[in-house]
Amino acid sequence: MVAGRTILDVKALSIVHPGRRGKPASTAVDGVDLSVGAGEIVGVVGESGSGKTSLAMAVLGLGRTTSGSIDVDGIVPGPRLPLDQRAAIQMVFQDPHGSLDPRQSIGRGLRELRRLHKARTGWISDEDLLSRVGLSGDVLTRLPHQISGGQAQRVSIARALLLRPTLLLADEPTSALDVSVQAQILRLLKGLRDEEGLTILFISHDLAVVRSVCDRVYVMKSGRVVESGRTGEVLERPQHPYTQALLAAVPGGDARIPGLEAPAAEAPQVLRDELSQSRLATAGETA
Amino acid sequence: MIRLILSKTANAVLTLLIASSLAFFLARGSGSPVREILGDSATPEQVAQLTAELGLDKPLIVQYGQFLLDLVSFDLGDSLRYGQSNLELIAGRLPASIELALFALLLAVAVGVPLGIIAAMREGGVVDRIASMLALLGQSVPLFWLGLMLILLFAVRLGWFPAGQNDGIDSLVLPAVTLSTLPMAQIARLTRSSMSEVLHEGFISAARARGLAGWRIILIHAFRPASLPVVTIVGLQAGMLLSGAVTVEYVFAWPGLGSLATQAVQTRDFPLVQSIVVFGALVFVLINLAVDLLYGLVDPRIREDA
Amino acid sequence: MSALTRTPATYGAGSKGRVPSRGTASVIAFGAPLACIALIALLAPLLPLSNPNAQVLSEALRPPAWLEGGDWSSPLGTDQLGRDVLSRLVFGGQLTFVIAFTGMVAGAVPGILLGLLAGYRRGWVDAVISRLVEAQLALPFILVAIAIIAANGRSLPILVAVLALVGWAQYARVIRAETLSLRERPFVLGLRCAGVPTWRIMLGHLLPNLAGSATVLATLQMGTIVLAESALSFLGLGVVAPDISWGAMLAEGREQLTLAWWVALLPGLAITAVVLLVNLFGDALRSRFDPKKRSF
Ligand SMILES: Nc1ncnc2c1ncn2[C@@H]1O[C@H](COP(=O)(O)OP(=O)(O)O)[C@@H](O)[C@H]1O
Ligand SMILES: [Mg+2]
Repeated sequence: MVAGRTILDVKALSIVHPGRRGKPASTAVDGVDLSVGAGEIVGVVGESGSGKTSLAMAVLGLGRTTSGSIDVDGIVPGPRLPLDQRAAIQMVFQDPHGSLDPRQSIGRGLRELRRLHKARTGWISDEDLLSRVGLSGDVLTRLPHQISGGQAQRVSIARALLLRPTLLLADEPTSALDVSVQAQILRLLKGLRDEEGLTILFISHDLAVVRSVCDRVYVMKSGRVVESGRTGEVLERPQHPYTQALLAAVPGGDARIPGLEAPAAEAPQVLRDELSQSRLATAGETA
Repeated sequence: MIRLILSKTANAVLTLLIASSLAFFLARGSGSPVREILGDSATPEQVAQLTAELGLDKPLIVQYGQFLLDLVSFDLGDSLRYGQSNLELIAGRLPASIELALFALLLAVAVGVPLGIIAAMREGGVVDRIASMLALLGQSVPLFWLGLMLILLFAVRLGWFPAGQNDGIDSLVLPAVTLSTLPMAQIARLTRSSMSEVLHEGFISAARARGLAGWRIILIHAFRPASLPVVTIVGLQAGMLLSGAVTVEYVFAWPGLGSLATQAVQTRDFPLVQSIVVFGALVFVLINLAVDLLYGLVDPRIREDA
Repeated sequence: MSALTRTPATYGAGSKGRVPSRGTASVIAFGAPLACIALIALLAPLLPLSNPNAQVLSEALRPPAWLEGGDWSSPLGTDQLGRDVLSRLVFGGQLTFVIAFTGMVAGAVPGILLGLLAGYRRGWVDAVISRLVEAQLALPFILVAIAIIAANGRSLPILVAVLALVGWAQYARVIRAETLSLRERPFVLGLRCAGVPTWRIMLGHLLPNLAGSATVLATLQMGTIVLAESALSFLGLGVVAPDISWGAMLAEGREQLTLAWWVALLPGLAITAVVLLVNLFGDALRSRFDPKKRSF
């Protein structure tokens, strides 16, 4: 894999949700530029309602876009992609149990995906796939309500992984989990990036979580990116008042997940340079 | 408010139009009634003649166009047997039907509402259990059979009421009681549930704290909000009364629309049957329009939503 | 079950080894007698009953056995034509059940599919289907039935088709509403993002999740259909001799009400009992399937 190759390229994206029943239309995303390089974990952080989910849904190709462009490694996401391109962009959602069909056993769900994507899914057996996300083969026969939230989220990640996506979107994947389980899932995602070179766009409202997994971060407010750059730098020396306010709101001011260290230091040097440049550029624009 | 009335009315007209069309295609699209009307002994000439008379020889789409044209000009055609316009026949039977339906509805409200209130006041108590059992029974019993049994007991055995025909208030009692069971059961159920909801709300306890007597609390504070859903059921049931009325009128030989419909089908008076169906849909749609508007007047939230 | 998998969710309905709740108990309490009645009716030809259409005029108008003049050779008495009421009741039940079941299925299939389609596709598909549903519900059922039967004559297939009309709009309405909320669950989005085709999402995923409400609805509809069938047959528009249904028996009973009241009383009691059981069974199923009591 070529380091630094751009996988996700979002340019001047705007999303306006039309108002229903007399309510005014709302601009959820307002001229966002964003890019994710191969093998990167890039965070999007912002308070609730800042447009993060709208952005993710647009990148997935199942949400609304009003103007601007999205490119995922040569694919333009949309509702009617060919199966193979569809599989290339996968997403993990916030609600672990809600993300699985309550009436379908885990094994049957995987079999359904394998039938649908024969060529793409032959690379790994169910057992190996599950052990890759830290689960044993026992869960195959279970229904979603018979496993825990953390297990369900691992299953969701496994389902996405099975399709060998070029880009994984994770929309608040740990917000519904206990803190200890949260750290496990974050470690899993990082491990997948390190071992499989998985590219991840990681969405969260939680700075501690973002600090512990993301190489770079975009800070969103009311649909705009107000600041971006390497996670360490943005969080140590925030330029924008909004980021400062977000940081101040974290109890103790030191947002860290126990057992997970900040990744910025480990990122390859090339990547790091690129990142700090892009940070300066964006910070300059919005200042 | 004007806009609400206009949009609801347009909605109702559209529903009526589609319902009438549905009735048209269900009945006529599925086969020709001529064989049914004339019977097996009819000659081919007779069949051809009646087919032409009824306009059934034209393509279905032309028949449908004619049907719609007649509908918007309030022309429901003529009866085959009575040699009268269908509309006149319907108008002639309407008063008896309304009399029966109103009486039944009145009875349903008069018994169902207090029953529901008492049941709600002592949830799980004896009255509550009996009421819910009665409500369930009311929804499970075939109306016409209940009518037959009432006739057997009160007309044949005891001789308290006449078994049929419409002469005087006496003859109204048994059919009205019969017809009232289903709406009574539903009104009791609904009153109970909306009452108990209101009773659990804060302002009732506040009123109790102020020392108001039990019954005054119920009547002043709870009944008004609880009456809204009851209005809906009354409206819906008024339409359903029409359906139930067919069998009940048949059992009691009550000279209303329902027995007109059964007579029409027995004498194979096809145009009359169809007219009664369309008229029934009209009544249903009108009543629901009225209920809708009443709702909009009472509850401003619904007005905004529309 | 290992400690790991023992989450609060496992205590919900559907997990293994839980104590039967009151819901389950009443499902059995109402379902068992219903199943018994249905079984007896369906096995009618195998039971030691006399021919339900055999006329023995010398035995006519015999009251039930425990009344004066009764005889245990015909435990529930005989009618005007000397036919055995018990035998007619059992055989009539057979046709009543068969018609109610076929009518229920014939209404459920299109109704559920249209409801799914309307709720999942929304937009103009929903607008068209919802209009049709509203219009269908605006038509007084008995009158429509009369119109259709008047045009097409009486036959069992027509009767079943007419009874299907009672139900489809109800199914479509309920299933549409449930689908509208179900389709917003993230797993549907997950399936779409995995490229699962729309029809598979609807039939393979949404439908199984709607099975509970569909079953409850179908059960309650059985009651409505039994009542509708009896009304039509009573008016002479449904089942006619030599076929027997409870409604058709009531039509005969009406004619001999003053001579042999039991001929009219018994089929009506049977209808009431079955519809009551069906309604209670449906209510029990509903509280068993209630989504609020489920923990996922
Ligand atoms: N489907 C939708 N229809 C209308 N408005 C929406 C829709 N989805 C999101 N919005 C609005 O867009 C804004 C951004 O929401 P969202 O993208 O969910 O933000 P976040 O994920 O950061 O909380 C909010 O104001 C929300 O109300
Ligand atoms: Mg969100």
